Amino acid sequence: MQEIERELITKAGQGDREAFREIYQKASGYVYTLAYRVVNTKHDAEEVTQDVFLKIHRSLSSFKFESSFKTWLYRIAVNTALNHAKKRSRVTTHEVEEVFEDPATVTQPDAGKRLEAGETEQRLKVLLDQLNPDQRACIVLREIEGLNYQGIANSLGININTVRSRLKRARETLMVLGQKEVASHGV
Amino acid sequence: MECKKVQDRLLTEYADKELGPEENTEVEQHLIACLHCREFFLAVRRSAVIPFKEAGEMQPDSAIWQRIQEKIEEERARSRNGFWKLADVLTPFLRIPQPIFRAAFVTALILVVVVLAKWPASYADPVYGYLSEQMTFMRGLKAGNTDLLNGDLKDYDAVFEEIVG
Repeated sequence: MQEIERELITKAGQGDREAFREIYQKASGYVYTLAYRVVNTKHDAEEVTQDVFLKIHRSLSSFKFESSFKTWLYRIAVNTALNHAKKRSRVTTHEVEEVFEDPATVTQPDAGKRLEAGETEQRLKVLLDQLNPDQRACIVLREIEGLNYQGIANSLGININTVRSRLKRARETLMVLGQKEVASHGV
Repeated sequence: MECKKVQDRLLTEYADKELGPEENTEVEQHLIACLHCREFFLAVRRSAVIPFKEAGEMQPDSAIWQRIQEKIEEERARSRNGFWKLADVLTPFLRIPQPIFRAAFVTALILVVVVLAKWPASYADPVYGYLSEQMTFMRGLKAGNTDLLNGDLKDYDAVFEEIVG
Protein backbone atom coordinates (compact mmCIF):
# COMPACT_ATOMS: atom_id res chain seq x y z
CA MET A 1 0.00 0.00 0.00
CA GLN A 2 1.23 3.50 -0.82
CA GLU A 3 2.23 5.70 2.10
CA ILE A 4 -0.58 7.97 3.32
CA GLU A 5 0.50 11.29 4.80
CA ARG A 6 -0.77 12.42 8.17
CA GLU A 7 -1.96 15.72 6.69
CA LEU A 8 -4.15 13.89 4.19
CA ILE A 9 -5.74 11.78 6.95
CA THR A 10 -6.38 14.90 9.07
CA LYS A 11 -7.95 16.73 6.10
CA ALA A 12 -10.20 13.75 5.28
CA GLY A 13 -11.19 13.55 8.94
CA GLN A 14 -12.30 17.19 8.75
CA GLY A 15 -14.63 16.32 5.88
CA ASP A 16 -12.41 17.12 2.86
CA ARG A 17 -13.89 14.95 0.08
CA GLU A 18 -10.88 15.22 -2.21
CA ALA A 19 -8.58 14.06 0.60
CA PHE A 20 -10.81 11.06 1.26
CA ARG A 21 -10.86 10.19 -2.44
CA GLU A 22 -7.06 10.26 -2.45
CA ILE A 23 -6.97 7.92 0.57
CA TYR A 24 -9.33 5.58 -1.28
CA GLN A 25 -7.11 5.62 -4.37
CA LYS A 26 -4.04 4.78 -2.32
CA ALA A 27 -5.59 2.13 -0.07
CA SER A 28 -8.46 0.52 -1.99
CA GLY A 29 -6.25 -2.07 -3.73
CA TYR A 30 -4.81 -3.12 -0.41
CA VAL A 31 -8.22 -3.35 1.31
CA TYR A 32 -9.86 -5.12 -1.64
CA THR A 33 -7.05 -7.69 -1.91
CA LEU A 34 -7.12 -8.41 1.81
CA ALA A 35 -10.92 -8.73 1.71
CA TYR A 36 -10.82 -10.97 -1.36
CA ARG A 37 -8.33 -13.35 0.30
CA VAL A 38 -10.56 -13.70 3.37
CA VAL A 39 -14.03 -13.85 1.76
CA ASN A 40 -12.76 -15.51 -1.43
CA THR A 41 -15.40 -14.17 -3.84
CA LYS A 42 -15.35 -11.01 -5.95
CA HIS A 43 -18.86 -9.90 -4.96
CA ASP A 44 -18.25 -10.28 -1.22
CA ALA A 45 -14.85 -8.57 -1.47
CA GLU A 46 -16.56 -5.58 -3.12
CA GLU A 47 -19.17 -5.41 -0.35
CA VAL A 48 -16.45 -5.61 2.31
CA THR A 49 -14.38 -2.90 0.59
CA GLN A 50 -17.40 -0.61 0.52
CA ASP A 51 -18.18 -1.29 4.21
CA VAL A 52 -14.55 -0.73 5.23
CA PHE A 53 -14.32 2.68 3.54
CA LEU A 54 -17.66 3.77 4.99
CA LYS A 55 -16.45 2.76 8.46
CA ILE A 56 -13.21 4.65 7.87
CA HIS A 57 -15.10 7.71 6.68
CA ARG A 58 -17.23 7.69 9.84
CA SER A 59 -14.29 7.26 12.21
CA LEU A 60 -11.46 9.22 10.54
CA SER A 61 -12.22 12.30 12.61
CA SER A 62 -11.55 10.34 15.79
CA PHE A 63 -8.34 8.65 14.53
CA LYS A 64 -5.69 9.64 17.10
CA PHE A 65 -2.53 8.41 15.31
CA GLU A 66 -1.79 6.11 18.28
CA SER A 67 -1.15 3.28 15.81
CA SER A 68 -0.10 3.59 12.19
CA PHE A 69 -2.91 4.27 9.71
CA LYS A 70 -2.04 1.03 7.90
CA THR A 71 -2.38 -1.03 11.09
CA TRP A 72 -5.72 0.64 11.85
CA LEU A 73 -6.87 0.05 8.29
CA TYR A 74 -6.04 -3.66 8.17
CA ARG A 75 -7.63 -4.24 11.57
CA ILE A 76 -10.88 -2.77 10.27
CA ALA A 77 -10.52 -4.56 6.92
CA VAL A 78 -9.69 -8.02 8.25
CA ASN A 79 -12.36 -7.94 10.95
CA THR A 80 -15.04 -6.66 8.54
CA ALA A 81 -14.05 -9.37 6.05
CA LEU A 82 -14.01 -12.06 8.72
CA ASN A 83 -17.46 -11.08 10.03
CA HIS A 84 -18.77 -11.04 6.48
CA ALA A 85 -17.29 -14.48 5.72
CA LYS A 86 -18.75 -15.95 8.92
CA LYS A 87 -22.18 -14.47 8.20
CA ARG A 88 -21.98 -15.81 4.65
CA SER A 89 -20.94 -19.30 5.79
CA ARG A 90 -23.94 -19.38 8.14
CA VAL A 91 -26.25 -18.59 5.24
CA THR A 92 -24.76 -21.06 2.77
CA THR A 93 -21.99 -23.58 3.14
CA HIS A 94 -20.73 -22.89 -0.35
CA GLU A 95 -21.19 -20.25 -3.02
CA VAL A 96 -23.52 -21.44 -5.75
CA GLU A 97 -21.71 -19.44 -8.37
CA GLU A 98 -17.95 -19.25 -8.08
CA VAL A 99 -16.65 -15.93 -9.34
CA PHE A 100 -12.92 -15.85 -9.86
CA GLU A 101 -11.10 -12.56 -9.75
CA ASP A 102 -10.50 -11.29 -13.27
CA PRO A 103 -6.76 -11.66 -13.93
CA ALA A 104 -6.83 -8.26 -15.65
CA THR A 105 -7.48 -6.57 -12.32
CA VAL A 106 -4.40 -8.10 -10.72
CA THR A 107 -1.59 -5.59 -10.79
CA GLN A 108 0.84 -7.11 -13.27
CA PRO A 109 2.38 -5.06 -16.10
CA ASP A 110 2.33 -7.19 -19.26
CA ALA A 111 -0.05 -9.72 -20.85
CA GLY A 112 2.10 -12.79 -20.16
CA LYS A 113 2.41 -11.87 -16.53
CA ARG A 114 -1.32 -11.16 -16.32
CA LEU A 115 -2.04 -14.69 -17.50
CA GLU A 116 0.35 -16.07 -14.90
CA ALA A 117 -1.27 -13.84 -12.30
CA GLY A 118 -4.64 -15.29 -13.27
CA GLU A 119 -3.36 -18.82 -12.74
CA THR A 120 -1.81 -17.81 -9.42
CA GLU A 121 -5.08 -16.24 -8.33
CA GLN A 122 -7.05 -19.36 -9.21
CA ARG A 123 -4.52 -21.50 -7.38
CA LEU A 124 -4.73 -19.25 -4.30
CA LYS A 125 -8.51 -19.37 -4.42
CA VAL A 126 -8.47 -23.18 -4.45
CA LEU A 127 -6.06 -23.23 -1.50
CA LEU A 128 -7.96 -20.66 0.55
CA ASP A 129 -11.25 -22.43 -0.16
CA GLN A 130 -9.95 -25.40 1.84
CA LEU A 131 -9.80 -23.30 4.99
CA ASN A 132 -12.44 -21.89 7.30
CA PRO A 133 -12.67 -18.06 7.60
CA ASP A 134 -10.65 -17.94 10.86
CA GLN A 135 -7.80 -20.01 9.40
CA ARG A 136 -7.94 -17.98 6.19
CA ALA A 137 -7.56 -14.69 8.06
CA CYS A 138 -4.53 -16.04 9.96
CA ILE A 139 -2.87 -17.37 6.79
CA VAL A 140 -3.51 -14.11 4.92
CA LEU A 141 -2.13 -11.95 7.72
CA ARG A 142 0.91 -14.19 8.09
CA GLU A 143 1.77 -15.14 4.51
CA ILE A 144 0.59 -12.13 2.57
CA GLU A 145 0.74 -9.27 5.06
CA GLY A 146 3.82 -10.68 6.78
CA LEU A 147 2.58 -10.08 10.34
CA ASN A 148 4.19 -11.95 13.22
CA TYR A 149 2.13 -14.03 15.68
CA GLN A 150 1.69 -11.14 18.11
CA GLY A 151 0.57 -8.83 15.28
CA ILE A 152 -2.01 -11.36 14.09
CA ALA A 153 -3.24 -11.89 17.66
CA ASN A 154 -3.63 -8.11 18.14
CA SER A 155 -5.38 -7.62 14.82
CA LEU A 156 -7.91 -10.38 15.38
CA GLY A 157 -8.26 -9.90 19.13
CA ILE A 158 -7.31 -13.51 19.88
CA ASN A 159 -4.72 -15.36 21.95
CA ILE A 160 -1.27 -16.00 20.44
CA ASN A 161 -1.74 -19.77 21.02
CA THR A 162 -4.95 -19.61 19.01
CA VAL A 163 -3.02 -17.97 16.17
CA ARG A 164 -0.45 -20.78 16.32
CA SER A 165 -3.05 -23.54 16.33
CA ARG A 166 -5.07 -21.97 13.49
CA LEU A 167 -1.92 -21.66 11.36
CA LYS A 168 -0.99 -25.25 12.14
CA ARG A 169 -4.43 -26.61 11.23
CA ALA A 170 -4.51 -24.49 8.08
CA ARG A 171 -1.10 -25.74 6.90
CA GLU A 172 -1.98 -29.35 7.71
CA THR A 173 -5.10 -28.97 5.54
CA LEU A 174 -3.09 -27.39 2.72
CA MET A 175 -0.52 -30.19 2.94
CA VAL A 176 -3.23 -32.84 2.61
CA LEU A 177 -4.44 -31.07 -0.55
CA GLY A 178 -0.85 -30.86 -1.82
CA GLN A 179 -0.32 -34.60 -1.24
CA LYS A 180 -3.57 -35.43 -3.05
CA GLU A 181 -2.48 -33.33 -6.01
CA VAL A 182 0.95 -34.94 -6.11
CA ALA A 183 -0.71 -38.38 -6.00
CA SER A 184 -3.23 -37.53 -8.75
CA HIS A 185 -0.56 -36.08 -11.04
CA GLY A 186 1.80 -38.95 -10.28
CA VAL A 187 4.63 -36.50 -9.51
CA MET B 1 14.04 -33.66 19.83
CA GLU B 2 11.57 -36.23 18.44
CA CYS B 3 10.26 -36.07 14.85
CA LYS B 4 6.68 -35.39 16.05
CA LYS B 5 7.75 -32.32 18.04
CA VAL B 6 10.04 -31.13 15.23
CA GLN B 7 7.22 -31.41 12.67
CA ASP B 8 4.94 -29.41 14.97
CA ARG B 9 7.56 -26.62 14.96
CA LEU B 10 8.11 -26.96 11.19
CA LEU B 11 4.41 -26.26 10.63
CA THR B 12 4.44 -23.21 12.86
CA GLU B 13 7.22 -21.29 14.62
CA TYR B 14 10.13 -22.60 12.52
CA ALA B 15 8.37 -21.80 9.22
CA ASP B 16 7.44 -18.37 10.58
CA LYS B 17 10.82 -17.57 12.18
CA GLU B 18 9.23 -17.28 15.61
CA LEU B 19 11.44 -19.79 17.44
CA GLY B 20 13.97 -18.75 20.06
CA PRO B 21 17.64 -19.20 19.00
CA GLU B 22 18.17 -22.33 21.12
CA GLU B 23 15.16 -24.24 19.84
CA ASN B 24 15.84 -23.01 16.31
CA THR B 25 19.32 -24.59 16.43
CA GLU B 26 17.84 -27.82 17.81
CA VAL B 27 15.38 -28.03 14.91
CA GLU B 28 18.10 -27.28 12.35
CA GLN B 29 20.36 -29.98 13.77
CA HIS B 30 17.46 -32.43 13.62
CA LEU B 31 16.79 -31.47 9.98
CA ILE B 32 20.44 -32.15 9.04
CA ALA B 33 20.19 -35.63 10.51
CA CYS B 34 16.60 -36.61 9.54
CA LEU B 35 15.65 -37.06 5.86
CA HIS B 36 11.98 -37.69 6.72
CA CYS B 37 11.63 -34.30 8.51
CA ARG B 38 13.56 -32.53 5.73
CA GLU B 39 11.05 -33.88 3.21
CA PHE B 40 8.20 -32.90 5.54
CA PHE B 41 9.48 -29.32 5.70
CA LEU B 42 9.84 -29.15 1.91
CA ALA B 43 6.21 -30.28 1.61
CA VAL B 44 5.12 -27.59 4.12
CA ARG B 45 6.86 -24.89 2.09
CA ARG B 46 5.63 -26.22 -1.27
CA SER B 47 1.97 -26.60 -0.22
CA ALA B 48 1.38 -23.97 2.41
CA VAL B 49 3.98 -21.20 2.20
CA ILE B 50 5.36 -20.60 -1.30
CA PRO B 51 1.98 -20.30 -3.15
CA PHE B 52 1.11 -17.26 -1.05
CA LYS B 53 4.39 -15.50 -1.78
CA GLU B 54 3.30 -15.05 -5.40
CA ALA B 55 0.09 -13.23 -4.51
CA GLY B 56 -0.28 -9.85 -6.17
CA GLU B 57 -2.44 -6.84 -5.33
CA MET B 58 -5.83 -6.51 -7.01
CA GLN B 59 -7.83 -3.39 -7.80
CA PRO B 60 -11.55 -3.09 -7.13
CA ASP B 61 -14.04 -2.15 -9.83
CA SER B 62 -14.48 1.63 -10.27
CA ALA B 63 -18.21 1.23 -9.45
CA ILE B 64 -17.24 0.60 -5.81
CA TRP B 65 -16.05 4.19 -5.38
CA GLN B 66 -19.32 5.44 -6.90
CA ARG B 67 -21.32 3.37 -4.42
CA ILE B 68 -19.19 4.61 -1.50
CA GLN B 69 -19.71 8.22 -2.59
CA GLU B 70 -23.48 7.71 -2.83
CA LYS B 71 -23.60 6.18 0.65
CA ILE B 72 -21.51 9.03 2.10
CA GLU B 73 -23.86 11.60 0.52
CA GLU B 74 -26.86 9.71 1.95
CA GLU B 75 -25.26 9.78 5.40
CA ARG B 76 -24.47 13.51 5.07
CA ALA B 77 -28.06 14.25 4.05
CA ARG B 78 -29.33 12.24 6.99
CA SER B 79 -27.06 14.06 9.42
CA ARG B 80 -28.52 17.41 8.22
CA ASN B 81 -32.12 16.25 8.66
CA GLY B 82 -33.44 16.50 12.25
CA PHE B 83 -35.73 13.46 11.94
CA TRP B 84 -32.95 11.20 10.67
CA LYS B 85 -30.59 12.59 13.33
CA LEU B 86 -33.10 11.45 15.98
CA ALA B 87 -33.58 8.13 14.18
CA ASP B 88 -29.80 7.58 14.11
CA VAL B 89 -29.61 8.25 17.86
CA LEU B 90 -32.47 5.84 18.57
CA THR B 91 -31.49 3.09 16.14
CA PRO B 92 -28.85 1.47 18.41
CA PHE B 93 -31.47 1.11 21.14
CA LEU B 94 -33.78 -0.64 18.71
CA ARG B 95 -31.10 -3.12 17.74
CA ILE B 96 -31.91 -5.36 20.70
CA PRO B 97 -30.33 -8.81 20.41
CA GLN B 98 -32.91 -11.46 19.53
CA PRO B 99 -32.67 -13.50 22.78
CA ILE B 100 -33.38 -10.37 24.87
CA PHE B 101 -36.28 -9.49 22.59
CA ARG B 102 -37.71 -13.00 22.97
CA ALA B 103 -37.32 -12.92 26.77
CA ALA B 104 -39.09 -9.54 26.90
CA PHE B 105 -41.90 -10.87 24.72
CA VAL B 106 -42.40 -13.96 26.92
CA THR B 107 -42.38 -11.82 30.10
CA ALA B 108 -44.98 -9.46 28.60
CA LEU B 109 -47.11 -12.44 27.59
CA ILE B 110 -46.97 -13.91 31.11
CA LEU B 111 -47.96 -10.53 32.57
CA VAL B 112 -50.94 -10.26 30.25
CA VAL B 113 -52.07 -13.81 31.15
CA VAL B 114 -51.72 -13.12 34.90
CA VAL B 115 -53.65 -9.83 34.66
CA LEU B 116 -56.40 -11.42 32.59
CA ALA B 117 -56.63 -14.36 34.99
CA LYS B 118 -57.00 -11.95 37.91
CA TRP B 119 -59.46 -9.59 36.23
CA PRO B 120 -62.75 -11.60 36.58
CA ALA B 121 -62.12 -12.00 40.33
CA SER B 122 -62.27 -8.23 40.74
CA TYR B 123 -65.73 -8.23 39.21
CA ALA B 124 -66.85 -10.76 41.82
CA ASP B 125 -65.46 -8.56 44.59
CA PRO B 126 -68.30 -7.40 46.99
CA VAL B 127 -66.94 -3.82 47.01
CA TYR B 128 -67.08 -3.72 43.20
CA GLY B 129 -70.65 -5.08 43.30
CA TYR B 130 -71.74 -2.56 45.93
CA LEU B 131 -70.22 0.42 44.12
CA SER B 132 -71.70 -0.68 40.83
CA GLU B 133 -75.17 -0.84 42.39
CA GLN B 134 -74.68 2.55 44.01
CA MET B 135 -73.77 4.08 40.70
CA THR B 136 -76.87 2.61 39.06
CA PHE B 137 -78.94 3.96 41.95
CA MET B 138 -77.42 7.48 41.67
CA ARG B 139 -77.87 7.48 37.92
CA GLY B 140 -81.53 6.55 38.44
CA LEU B 141 -82.02 9.39 40.93
CA LYS B 142 -80.37 11.85 38.58
CA ALA B 143 -82.75 10.73 35.86
CA GLY B 144 -85.68 11.63 38.20
CA ASN B 145 -86.72 8.09 39.18
CA THR B 146 -87.92 8.84 42.75
CA ASP B 147 -89.51 5.38 43.08
CA LEU B 148 -86.09 4.14 43.95
CA LEU B 149 -86.25 6.03 47.29
CA ASN B 150 -89.17 3.82 48.37
CA GLY B 151 -87.34 0.65 47.59
CA ASP B 152 -86.42 -2.07 50.00
CA LEU B 153 -82.97 -1.39 51.43
CA LYS B 154 -82.49 -4.80 53.04
CA ASP B 155 -80.24 -5.93 50.25
CA TYR B 156 -77.89 -2.99 50.74
CA ASP B 157 -77.64 -3.77 54.46
CA ALA B 158 -76.70 -7.33 53.57
CA VAL B 159 -73.99 -6.05 51.23
CA PHE B 160 -72.65 -3.73 53.95
CA GLU B 161 -72.51 -6.60 56.40
CA GLU B 162 -70.66 -8.69 53.91
CA ILE B 163 -68.08 -5.95 53.43
CA VAL B 164 -67.58 -5.19 57.11
CA GLY B 165 -67.86 -8.76 58.31
